[in-house]
Amino acid sequence: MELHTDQDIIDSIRRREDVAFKYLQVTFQDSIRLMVMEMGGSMEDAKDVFSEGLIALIRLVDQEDFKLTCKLGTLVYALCKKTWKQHLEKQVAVRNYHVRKLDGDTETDFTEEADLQLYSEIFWESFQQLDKSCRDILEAYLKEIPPREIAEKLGYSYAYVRKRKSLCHSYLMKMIEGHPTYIRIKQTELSLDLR
Amino acid sequence: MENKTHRNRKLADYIYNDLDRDSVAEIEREISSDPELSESYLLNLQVKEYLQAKLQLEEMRSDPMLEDAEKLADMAFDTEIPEQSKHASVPVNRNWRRIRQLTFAITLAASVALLISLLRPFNVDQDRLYDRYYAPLEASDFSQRGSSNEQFSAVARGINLYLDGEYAQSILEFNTISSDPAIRAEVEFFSALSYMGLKQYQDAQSLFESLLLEENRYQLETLWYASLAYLKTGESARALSLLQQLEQYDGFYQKGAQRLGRKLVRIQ
Repeated sequence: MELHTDQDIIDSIRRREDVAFKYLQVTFQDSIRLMVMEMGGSMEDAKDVFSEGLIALIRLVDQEDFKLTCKLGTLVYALCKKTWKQHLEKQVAVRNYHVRKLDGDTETDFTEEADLQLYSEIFWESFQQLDKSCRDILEAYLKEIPPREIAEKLGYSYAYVRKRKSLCHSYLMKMIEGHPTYIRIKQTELSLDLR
Repeated sequence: MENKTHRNRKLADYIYNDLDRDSVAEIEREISSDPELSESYLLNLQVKEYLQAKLQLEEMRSDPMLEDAEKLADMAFDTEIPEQSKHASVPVNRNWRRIRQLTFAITLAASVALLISLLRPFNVDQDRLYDRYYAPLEASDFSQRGSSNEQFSAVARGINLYLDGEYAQSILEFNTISSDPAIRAEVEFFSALSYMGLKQYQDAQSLFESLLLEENRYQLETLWYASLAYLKTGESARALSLLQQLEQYDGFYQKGAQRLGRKLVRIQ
């Protein structure tokens, strides 16, 4: 079954169809993870927040008087943000008794979340430094808009859009790899490996 | 240089799904056989996935209908959880194209990780694990229990010195206290922690071992910090054994013990 609109997905959630949950996961999990991490959470927290956010969504769409008055993605965001805020309130309550550094652990072994945060900042900063036409083309690609549609929307030829996308992406990578913070992180990792 | 630029463009075409089948097969072969290209591919993919998530997140945050969404979210949290919803599964899956790339990326990442782990000295990993997991104990409720006599006051002072990061002073304070079974656990536990703070791990280990000989109110904390002390001195078998004991107890340290134990096994 294909889900074309937000209402299709809502209906599918009401019928408890796997396809709806798969769609939500593929479409929104990464951005929710980013939101949680930007708000001080760990990857593990983000997984919990996303699952709890989806449970809240099920609870909401099951209400008889529920009517979707915004984009589904924005609703998922609002639900997960609220879930995370509640989680933070509970954490604060626990910390009033005992504070220890155990939370924030992840399954990513030696990939420190602090480094991930730095990488994220470098990626975003570099992307924003691209010229507008590069940003527009890459943004459209990143949103998985078909190249012909991008060409039509931006007033370029199909071939130009495809070629420009590759060029812009390689400019972006060059900026990232030349970023002073990126170089510093890499040098630190190297010195750790060689120590 | 020109080659590198050409290769980067080709990688861009690959990660944006803009290559025909033959070219996909060709670049995947190249990535598999060239470690430098593999690393570059993983970075390209990481950048793409990050930017996708970030752009979507920014769109959600700036959506003019966000206020409506927040009102709806409030409604969801005002209601009780129906049983069926509680047990609704959230399956893990991806569409075929993402699965294909993801599988390829994971296989590749595993190979790169293996390579890195073979090249990296073992003690560096242990130090990094220790740095990741060690944090001084930041609170204690001891002072609420007793200041009824001089012995208890001295213990409270020693603990407070530890909490303030005055490790050497804390040990001196504990050394003034005569042996009393009623406060032995506090004295030994916080002295051991202070030794850890001073990086005197073997002194800390001796005290922790003494504490582990019998049940005490710091049992779980002792297992945790002792395992870290052994991790730091490279005695990973003892560290692992303590973590495995700690895993048996429900509570604050259980999850951390499981994770640290798994990581320790992986780097051994």
